[in-house]
Amino acid sequence: MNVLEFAEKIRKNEIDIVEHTGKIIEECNKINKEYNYFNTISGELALQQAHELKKLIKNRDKSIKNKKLLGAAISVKDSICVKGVESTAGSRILQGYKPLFNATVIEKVIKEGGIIIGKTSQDEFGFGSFSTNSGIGFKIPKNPIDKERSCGGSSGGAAGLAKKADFPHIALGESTGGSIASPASFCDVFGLCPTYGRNSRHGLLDYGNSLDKIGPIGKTCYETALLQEAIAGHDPNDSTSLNVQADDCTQVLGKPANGMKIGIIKEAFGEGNDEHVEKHVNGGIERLKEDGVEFEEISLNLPIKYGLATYYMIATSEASTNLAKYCGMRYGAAEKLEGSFNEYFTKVRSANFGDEAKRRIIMGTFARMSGFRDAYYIKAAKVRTLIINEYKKVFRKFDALVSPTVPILPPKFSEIEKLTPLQNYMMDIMLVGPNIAGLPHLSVPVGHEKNLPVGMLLIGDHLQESKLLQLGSVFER
Amino acid sequence: MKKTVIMALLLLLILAACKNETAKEVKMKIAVIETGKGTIKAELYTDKAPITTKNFIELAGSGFYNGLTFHRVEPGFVVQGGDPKGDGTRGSEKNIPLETNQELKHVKGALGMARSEDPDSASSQFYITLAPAPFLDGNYAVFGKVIDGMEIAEKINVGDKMNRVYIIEK
Repeated sequence: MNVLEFAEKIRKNEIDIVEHTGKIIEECNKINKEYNYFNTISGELALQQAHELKKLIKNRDKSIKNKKLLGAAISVKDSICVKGVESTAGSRILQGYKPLFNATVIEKVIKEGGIIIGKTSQDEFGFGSFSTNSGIGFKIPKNPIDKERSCGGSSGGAAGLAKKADFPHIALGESTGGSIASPASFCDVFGLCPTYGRNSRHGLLDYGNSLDKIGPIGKTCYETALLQEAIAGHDPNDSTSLNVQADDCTQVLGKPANGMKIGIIKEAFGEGNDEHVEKHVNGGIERLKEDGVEFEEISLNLPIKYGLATYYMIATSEASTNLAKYCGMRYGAAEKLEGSFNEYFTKVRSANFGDEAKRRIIMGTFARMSGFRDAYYIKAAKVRTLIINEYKKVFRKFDALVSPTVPILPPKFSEIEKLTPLQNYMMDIMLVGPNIAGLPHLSVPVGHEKNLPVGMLLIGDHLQESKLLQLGSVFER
Repeated sequence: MKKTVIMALLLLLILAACKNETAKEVKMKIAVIETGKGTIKAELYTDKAPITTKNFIELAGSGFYNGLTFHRVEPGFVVQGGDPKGDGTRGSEKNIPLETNQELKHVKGALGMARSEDPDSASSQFYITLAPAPFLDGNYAVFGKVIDGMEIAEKINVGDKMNRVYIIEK
C-alpha cells in the first residue's frame, strides 16, 4: 500500500491512525536493532501527531481533504532540525541538542499530515559516501539487502529505511555532494536531489551552505514526487531559497516521455566502472528508448575532470567555517569550563569530532588561509562557474543527462575499510557535478546484479525536477 | 640674438630636467632586513606603489619592525612577518587601502602586504614570495622585490627574528 492509498483509508477512517502509528514505532524499533537506521526514534512526538490527526478525522475537519501526506510516516535525516527531538547530524558534538524550532521542511510535512517518526543515521555532518564516517558513539546503518554491505551515504539511514519499511513511509534526506542519490542507488530506491534553493534549508545543520539541498527518498517514484511537492517552495527564512512557484510534481507522473531527448555522458561510462553497473544502466536506457525517448552521446569534460577537486575545495572550506560554532559553548557537548578559550575549544572539539570531520576542518581551513584562499578556494569558485556554464550549454539541447549513479555495486564494509580517503571521495565522481552546479538529479533503481541494486542517474536543468520524475515514473509501470 | 638666448635657456632647462631624472634613479630606496641568518635587501617601488611604500618606510623608520618575527613560513609560497604579536593576528595601528599596479607582479622574491579578507586591511604584516604566485596579482599589494639575499629568505624558519629593518638610499 503506497502513501496515496493509505491516506485515503485514513481519511475514510478505515485505519485507526493512532493504533497504526503505534505499530510503526514498534516496527521501527525492531528494524533499528538489526539495521541501525535511526539515531533517534521519536515515538512520543509521532503518537502525539497521530492523536491530533485522529481528532481532525473524527470531527470531519475540512483540512483533512487536502493533506497530501495524511498519516504517512516521514523519517528525517538527523541533520534536519525537529523541535524537541535530539538533532545531532550524527555528531557527538551535538549530543543532547534539542532544537527549539522545526526546520521549514518539517513544518510543511506536519502541515500536510505527515507523521515524523525519527531521525535517521548518517555520516557525521554528511561527510561521507558510505555512512561509515558516523560520529563517535553512533552506529553505522547496514544495507537492507545485504547486512555486510553499505547503505551508501551520507543519507544512509534514510535510504535503508525507505527500502526496508513495509509501512507507508517516505524519507527526508539531504545532499551536499551526492548524499541522496548515492544511498538511493545502493538501497534500491528513488532519491531526488532538487535544484539548489528549491526547498528551504532553514533548520538544516549546515555542511556547505552553497551546496546543501534537502530532498526526498522513497520506495516509489510517486512517493518521492509527493514528498518533494509537499516541501518545495519559497521561504523568507532562507535567503537562498528560490522565489518560484512549487511544481505539482505528481501531475506529470506516468505521462508518456516520448520526444524527450537525453544526453549520455560519454566520460561517465567505460573505465573505472563496474561492468555490471554499466550493463544495468544501459538496460535502463533501453527501457526509456522503448518509450520513445531519444538518446545521443555527448562529452561533458569539465565536471568529470575537475568536479571532485572543485567540490572538495568548496565543500571543505564551507564546512570548516560552519563547524566553527561547535565549540562547547552554545550547542550540544560541553566539558568542564577551564583554561583559556583556545584550550577549552580545543578540548571540546578534539574529544567530540570524528576523524573525517577533523580531516575536513583541517583541509578547509588550509584552503581558506590567507594567500591559499586565492590559490585554491577562489580558483575553485571560478571553475565552478565554468562547470555550470558547460551544463547550461548542454541543456539547451537536452531534457536530461544520464550516467550511472555510483560506479560500483554496494561494497562490503570490509572493502570500504581498505579505501584511502581519496578513493573514498572518488565514489562521488558522477554526483559532484550536478551538486556543485545546483542541478536537480534523480537516482532511479534500474536493476539488480545477483540481488545487489544498481541506480541510474538522471540530471536535469535547474527547476526541472518534474521532467526527471516523469522519466523516473517510466520504471514504475 | 634673442632667439639664441631662448634656445640656450631651453637647452639648459632640458639638461636640468635630465639631471633631475638621473638624480631620482640614484635615489632608489632599499629596505634592509637583518636576520640572524643574514641580510635581505629589497628594492621598494616608491613610484608604482606610493601609498604602500610610504607606509612601510614610515614603519621601518620608526623602528616598528625591529625585533619582530617571521611567524608564517609556507615552503614554495611565502615567508611572512611584521606582526607585533607574532602570531599573524595583529598589525600596526593604521590600515592602508589596497594598492595594485598591473606592472607589479608576484614574481619570485616579490615583497607584498599581507591582509585579512578586507582588501583595505593591510597594516604592517608583509611577505616575500618564494616562488611566482600569479593568483595573488591584483588582489594583494606588491611594493618591492628582493635584490639581494634571496637565499636568506629561503632559509627563514617560523619564529626567526628580523633584528633590524631600515631603509637606505642608493
